[in-house]
Amino acid sequence: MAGVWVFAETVDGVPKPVVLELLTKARALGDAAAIALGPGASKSAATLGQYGAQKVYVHEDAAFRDVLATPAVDLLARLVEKEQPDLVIFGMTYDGRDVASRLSARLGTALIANATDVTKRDGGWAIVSPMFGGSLLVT
Amino acid sequence: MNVLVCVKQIPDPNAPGKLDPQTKRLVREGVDLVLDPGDEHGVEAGLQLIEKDAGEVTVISMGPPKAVDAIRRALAMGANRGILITDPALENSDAISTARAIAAAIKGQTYDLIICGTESTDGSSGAMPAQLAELLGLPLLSFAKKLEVSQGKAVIDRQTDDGYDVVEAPLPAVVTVTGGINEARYPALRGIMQAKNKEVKQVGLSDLGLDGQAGKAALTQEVVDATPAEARKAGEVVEDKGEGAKRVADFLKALKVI
Repeated sequence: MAGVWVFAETVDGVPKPVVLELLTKARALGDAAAIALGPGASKSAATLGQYGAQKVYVHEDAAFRDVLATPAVDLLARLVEKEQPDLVIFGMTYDGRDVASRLSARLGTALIANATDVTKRDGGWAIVSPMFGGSLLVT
Repeated sequence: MNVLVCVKQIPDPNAPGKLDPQTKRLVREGVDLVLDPGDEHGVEAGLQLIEKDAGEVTVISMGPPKAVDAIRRALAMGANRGILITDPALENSDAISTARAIAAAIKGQTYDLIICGTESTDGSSGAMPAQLAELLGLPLLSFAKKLEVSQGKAVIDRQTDDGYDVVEAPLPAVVTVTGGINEARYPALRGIMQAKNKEVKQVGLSDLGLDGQAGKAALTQEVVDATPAEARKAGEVVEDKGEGAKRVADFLKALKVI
């Protein structure tokens, strides 16, 4: 099974709604795991598990809340290199976008933004993404 | 204070763009190409900074030779000079290739701040500025709706779901600006005339030492299909004959909104 991770943004230990939606997708694609960072992150594990995460990585350091993107990118880059997931999914939030973009540059991996669907295809991933303000769907 | 502003030439957003059915690439022929309106706010933000404090605004873009028109527009607004990265080998570049090319092109330039729009109006991935910051090892202040620079620091009001956060970073830094940050100025005739004589340097892949590391040779993704999105259906018009409120309430109930 493919390892599919979800970057689980939480506010005071409560996952943002988009995270739970992404977990539903992730568990349909493979073995779902979630990464929750910042104060209160551990509290979110039960909910993340309930929505399909088989494993939840947490780190409670305040830096994840107080410093934009880079602490999360530092941690994710190491974790991704160690555990080699097949796909990491981020919500298109203010923070998710910054972290995903920086991480892709650090790891030299592909990044597809604004995805509206993901399926497996030919040993890779086929991702649908809108262009020109949504008038065209590109795969 | 020297400011670099990244800009992109895109198809006029008022006439939706098209992809070539064969090549899956942007159709540029017979389409009005404009400076991305989101980037005009970046140029404006840069100009306001150098008007307050001395310095220069350099505009940088990547695209086909025609993209020089977008740079000229920024020069007409008041920017001092331009750099256009253009090379047939860069056709079809993804965001990371663009970030690599821009990072290489500005190496050796002295700058305090790099300003980008939050995302292009055509592709909208919004990935390039953060990737550029990562490649340059610089902090990124994203989604700025207000920007101030003083004493070696940039301070922004950063848009959030609930309002905004005040975030600061030491210079040099990358900042992305939202449309709400300012009202972009319209180029005056004098500016348009002056823009014709301003320097625009053109650089290619081998000038940047990036052969094989950007563009076609380094694609991480490929467009395999492009289909028009389903057109929005016309809404239902309810004439109010005394039961309008109930019809609306039923509609919202059916959507499970209430």
